[in-house]
Formats: sequence, C-alpha cells, structure tokens
Amino acid sequence: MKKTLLAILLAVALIVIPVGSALALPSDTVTITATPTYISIDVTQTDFDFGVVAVSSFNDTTTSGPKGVGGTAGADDYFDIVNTSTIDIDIEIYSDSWDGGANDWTWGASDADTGQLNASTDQGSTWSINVPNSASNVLLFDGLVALTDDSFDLQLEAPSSFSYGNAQQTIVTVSATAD
Amino acid sequence: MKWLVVLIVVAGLLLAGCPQTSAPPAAETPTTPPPELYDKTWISPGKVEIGNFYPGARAEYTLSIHNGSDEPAEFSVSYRVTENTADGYEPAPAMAQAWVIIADPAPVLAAKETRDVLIAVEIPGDAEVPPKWEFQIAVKDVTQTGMVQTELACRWLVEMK
Repeated sequence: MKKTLLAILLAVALIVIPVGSALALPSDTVTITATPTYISIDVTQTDFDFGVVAVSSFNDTTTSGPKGVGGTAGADDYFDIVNTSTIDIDIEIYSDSWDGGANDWTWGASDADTGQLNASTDQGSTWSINVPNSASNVLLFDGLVALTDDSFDLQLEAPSSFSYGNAQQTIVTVSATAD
Repeated sequence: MKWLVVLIVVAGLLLAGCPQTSAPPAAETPTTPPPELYDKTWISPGKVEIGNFYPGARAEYTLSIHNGSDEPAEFSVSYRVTENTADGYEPAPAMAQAWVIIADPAPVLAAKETRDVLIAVEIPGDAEVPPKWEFQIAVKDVTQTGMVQTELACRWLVEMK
C-alpha cells in the first residue's frame, strides 16, 4: 500500500513539475538559428576601360554613352550578375578609392581632381545610384531570384579639371546577401 | 498489477513532458551544397539569427567558405555594416565591430576546398544596443582581378531579449 501511495505521489509530482520545464532553456539562454543556404554569384564581365576622358564629361558602358576601349558596340547591360545561390539575394555595390599612383583623384561628384562612378539598372535611362566609396554600400538589386540574372551599367563622372594626367583606376565590388 | 499501471502512467508522463523534436528542414533548403555549386565559390549559411541576446552574452557560429576555382585562393573575411538591413532591424551600432571576433580573417583555401571559419559576437556587459540590429560578415576572394569583383556576405540578425 505504501509503495502504491509513493508511486501515485511521484506521478502527481511529475504532473505538477513537468519534465519539460526541467529540460527547457534557462531564461538567459541565447538561441542561434541558421538555415543551410548557399550564397554564390557570377559576374559575366569584369573589365571596362573608359579611355581618355574630357573634363566634366560623363562616360558610360551603355551604347548611348561614349564607348571606352573595353566596350563592345551594341552591348547594353554591360555587367551581368547571375544568382547561382540556392535562395533569392540582394546585391549591394561599393567601390575602392581612386588609385592614380602618385596622384589619386578624390572620390565624389565632379569637381577639381574629383570624380565618381554612378550605376544604372535600366540601361542608362537613369543614373540614380552613386556608387559609394568603401565606407558603406548601397543596394543595386533587391530580391534577385535564385538562378536568374540581372544587369547594370557604370558611368564615370569625370572631374571638372585635372591637375595631373595620371591614369586612375578603381575596383567596384558587388556584394551578395540573403534577401 | 498496480505497479504495472503506475509504471505506464509514469512512462506516459515522461514521454509527454519531453520536448518535441523540430521538423526536418524543408526540401528546398538542402543541408549539403547542390553538386552544381562545386565549381562555384560560395558561403553558407546566408543568414544567422541570434535570439534572446543580452549584454555580457556570447554567441558563435561557423561560416563555411568554398573555393570553387581551380587554383588556391586567399579570402578576406571581414565585418561589415549595411543600411540595407532586414525588415525591423537597425544597422549595428558603431562600437559593434569590436564585439565581433573572426577566427581566421585571411584563410587560404586550396582549389575546391571548403573550410569553416568561426565567427563569434560578444557584447560587453554595459553595452547599449538597439532591440534588433544587424551586421554582415563579408567574404571576398582577394585573388580576383578586374574592375568589377564579387563578394559574398552573411547576414547576422541579432534580437535582444
């Protein structure tokens, strides 16, 4: 009889203090969740040479602008990004500083020895994306569907005056993140 | 007989009290990379979500990096803040960069090698942070050449308790 009573008391105790609560996470336990997705992109064109540019000129990679020596006549949407990820992604863009050897341009809207790159996702109809210089990045494509592609062009906004004739170069980075 | 009944009751209560196992991952989120990604450079996961975080706490997760090229490549693994945050999240506060630890910020991967890099975030006990904030871990193959180069970034979404 005592054993039965003890067993019943144990059963009641288990109801009052559920096992789940003993196994539950403490209130200060940090949770970490990650879905096994894979982020990957390809860019089909990686180079463009604007050639010799005039002061205060706008040169771009579309057929509508003056074509640089690296351009291909008739090639709208010069740079193509292919989303080879397993999920939809966002594409952001940013640039390094100008590298002119001993004399670098300053990055910014056209001014003395100052120039920048702008980007277009509509074949040059608008150049509303000012490519930022390293410190931050801006959105180029929002929600590029997995296994699809989209394209963009770049425009060089040349300085209003040149103090030196060094060739300038920079690196533009397109960054893929989960949408 | 009574003991048998009691044992069944106790066993039932134990089973009922155990936490349920989570559902298996959906079919469209493979746990291994698709074969077609073998020749591509990729990172995984694309998003890490930290919940119930608080000043003084630490969280860590490994980021897998795959070198899809036929040559060895050095990668840079770096902290990044973006304005393009997930819905409801703010960019990480300025001091957050000091809270993020990247175990190997410059791994060199052999051709087709996949390597895990441990990422940890550790908030000081006196830190003041937004309720929901985001930073990114950006991975770039620094052996790339050309004017336009690619980078892959993992979102870290942090929700404070």
